[in-house]
Amino acid sequence: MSETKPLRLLVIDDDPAIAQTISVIARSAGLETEITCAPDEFFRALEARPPDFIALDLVMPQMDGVEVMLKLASFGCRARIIITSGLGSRVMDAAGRSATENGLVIAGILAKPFSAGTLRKLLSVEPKTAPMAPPTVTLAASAGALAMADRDELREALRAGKIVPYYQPKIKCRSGRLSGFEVLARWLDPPRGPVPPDHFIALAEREGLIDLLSEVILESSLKWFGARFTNSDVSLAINLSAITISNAAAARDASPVAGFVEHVTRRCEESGVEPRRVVFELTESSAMRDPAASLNLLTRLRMKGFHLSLDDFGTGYSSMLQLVRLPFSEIKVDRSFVSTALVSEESSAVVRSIVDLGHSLGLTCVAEGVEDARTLSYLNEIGCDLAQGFGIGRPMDSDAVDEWMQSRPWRRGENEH
Amino acid sequence: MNISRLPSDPALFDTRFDPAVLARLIESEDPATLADLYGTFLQSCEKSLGLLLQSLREADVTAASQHAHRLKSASAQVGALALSRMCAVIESDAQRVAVAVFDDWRNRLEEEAAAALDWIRARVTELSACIGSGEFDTSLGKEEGRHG
Repeated sequence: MSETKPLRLLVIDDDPAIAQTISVIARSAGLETEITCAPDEFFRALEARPPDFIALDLVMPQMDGVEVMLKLASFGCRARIIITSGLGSRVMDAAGRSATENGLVIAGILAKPFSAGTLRKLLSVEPKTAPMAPPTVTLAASAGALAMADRDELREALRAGKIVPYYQPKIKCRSGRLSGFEVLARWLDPPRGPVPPDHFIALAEREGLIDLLSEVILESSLKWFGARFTNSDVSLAINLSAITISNAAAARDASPVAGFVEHVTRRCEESGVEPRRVVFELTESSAMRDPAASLNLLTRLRMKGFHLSLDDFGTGYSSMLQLVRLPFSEIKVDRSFVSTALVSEESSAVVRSIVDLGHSLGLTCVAEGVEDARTLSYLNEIGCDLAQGFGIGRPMDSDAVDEWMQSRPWRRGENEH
Repeated sequence: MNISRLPSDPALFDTRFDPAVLARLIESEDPATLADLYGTFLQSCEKSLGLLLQSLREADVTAASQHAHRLKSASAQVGALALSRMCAVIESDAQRVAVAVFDDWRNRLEEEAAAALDWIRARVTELSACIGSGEFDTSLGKEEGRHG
């Protein structure tokens, strides 16, 4: 007979009375616990038996909680961390954000004096939607294994069909129904080990290969999408590189803007995909490289029926300006706010404000970085339209999309065919 | 800083001890568990209090603030509310008041901590009687020997 192994909580608090109280509550919730009151003791326990949760006091005399978290991040620690402290909420929120940005998984903030209910809630886990590593974590954890690549290798990969589209699903917050997919480029079997997309896309931009890469991804993804989702309202979101926008706009005499718009329109026709089902995503910085030309290009795309999405909203310096100036139909709330919305009052306020702003401008609002069902529920409460993130579905190849369509827990019936 | 903010202020001294706080926090009235937690507090409080008094004596405001912070949380969770509030004032105001105030703080803190520890020892005695075992009597006796 198999037994379920209890989840394990490791507590570090320089006050044994508080550490013990946390332990008592966690044990009553069915967890196995271990108490430590000093960092060296804590790291020994961590190494001996990696925990599922860590309750970490921020204020300790030997090594403060932020230092402990930095050390945990350097190990690639995957335990869910509960930050405990009697400090003010802004300080605790900032510590949580710092930890998240360093790749740690923060289960929540436990302000002292706390309640058993709050602690138990933070210790609850939802196995099917347990937070997965945000991209930065994956990269940090495997940084030693990452390889660089050069122009010739990338060109060869493009020629050999090794740069392929992966698809990350987006769902409607209210119904849980599939709304669309974002296309993300992946390099299969690179010769010198894994190359993250950010690296090879930057390489393609530097080496003049970005238009070729964009074309490979555009053609391949539209072909798949047109065949897989006929007579459907499901959308396909494709990222537009800043360089592609610039290139399309650079030689005005030859009307490359018109050329680009006509090219993507033709590709859609060939694939049987209506332009209204295609969303081009671009960041503020992309749009700002050549403001006049991008306005021209993006306006023409909209006139053809394509949708435009402003990506990573909230992280740039001119978001409001771009939002008003360019004909966007959608904004994507940056993952840094969404992934911390349940543990940070500030992040929560920012997400809510962006959603309200988007709606007041008639835009569809998409939350990126949704890692669990609680965040999805919160987004639904505040009226966010769409959600995307590892907790809903990781980027996957076309075969895996079919499996995901069958298995995802929030599926409530839809007519994608 | 007005020194009257320390325990003689009625607002701070409203409820001195609340025996329900710890049981409410852990959502259990199991006497063995409660006695155990109170016992741990008795031990850790002695250390924290000693460090806090020493830092006040040495006018080390940073250390005073840190030690007060620690004792504030621990005393709040066992229901020693006046002691916790006093620590909160020391934590927030230690860097702002004249050092001359520290002597008064020390005296009041020692008084309040002694009262809190007496109250907790009495709680442990009551709880130990409830569980009817000598398990906690040993530690209780030890604590009383230290403080009594």
